[in-house]
Amino acid sequence: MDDDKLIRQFMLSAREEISDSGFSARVMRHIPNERPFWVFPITVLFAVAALAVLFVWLDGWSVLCNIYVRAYTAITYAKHFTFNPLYLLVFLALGCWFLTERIKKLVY
Amino acid sequence: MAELSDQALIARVTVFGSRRAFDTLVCRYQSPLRRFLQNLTGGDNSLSDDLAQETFIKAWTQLATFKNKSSFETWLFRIAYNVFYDYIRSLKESQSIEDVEREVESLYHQHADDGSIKADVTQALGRLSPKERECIVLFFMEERQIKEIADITGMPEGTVKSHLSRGKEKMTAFLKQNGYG
Repeated sequence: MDDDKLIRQFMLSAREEISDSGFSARVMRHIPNERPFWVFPITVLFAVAALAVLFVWLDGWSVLCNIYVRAYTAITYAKHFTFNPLYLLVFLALGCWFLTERIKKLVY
Repeated sequence: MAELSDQALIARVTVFGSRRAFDTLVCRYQSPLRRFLQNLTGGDNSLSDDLAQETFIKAWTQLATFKNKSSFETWLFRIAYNVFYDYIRSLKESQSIEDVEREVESLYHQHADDGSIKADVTQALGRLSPKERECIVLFFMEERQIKEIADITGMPEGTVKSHLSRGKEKMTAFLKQNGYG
């Protein structure tokens, strides 16, 4: 047997996977709590600013109003259906909240 | 999150400060890193776990400086290697290379032989100089390439090859003497 193979075999026979046994949890407890990351707030700020510019530039407000009025009209003109526009707003708010929670869970 | 690539996890940590993504990285690399440190400390589990913990904490605070020039694992091993030598230097007031090497040697030989194959490996590695030992462990146990070993230890590739060659000779002699050959 050549020397490399002999040494490799010997070393690998003693190689073992070390089980976590709470090591990762211990490390995570000692990770500094304060966030050293300034990139995230800056990124969010830039994204919000870019979206606001696009919203104004593309006349987003009238698009949103249009969508809302169309949805409201379609629902209220449906037969035997009484609709309170507040429901749509509540539905949209809940949708936004759910989406934000999902993103937070995914990221953090 | 376990199936995400290292790059995706690193992006989550650096951009969003995601602790969950970092936890996945710790779980993924704790075993090779702790094993590497155990081999450097002569099998001192408690010390190697403390050094591994310090390595991960440094990785968390310095992750923004990771440039993707090497793999994340190589980068992590380099931090661990530096953490180990910082620890050795902290034991001695004097910082000369000879003192540091002597300290590594004495640390390595403190641990008892329990007759297992692992103890045989520790004994075989104990015959090598610290640098030879590091190269042999990285090459044969952690299956790293010469270039990666050079990245981790900060030695030129030629020096790594010389240490490996001398280390191999000593290891072969030990193995043949002890009935492995």
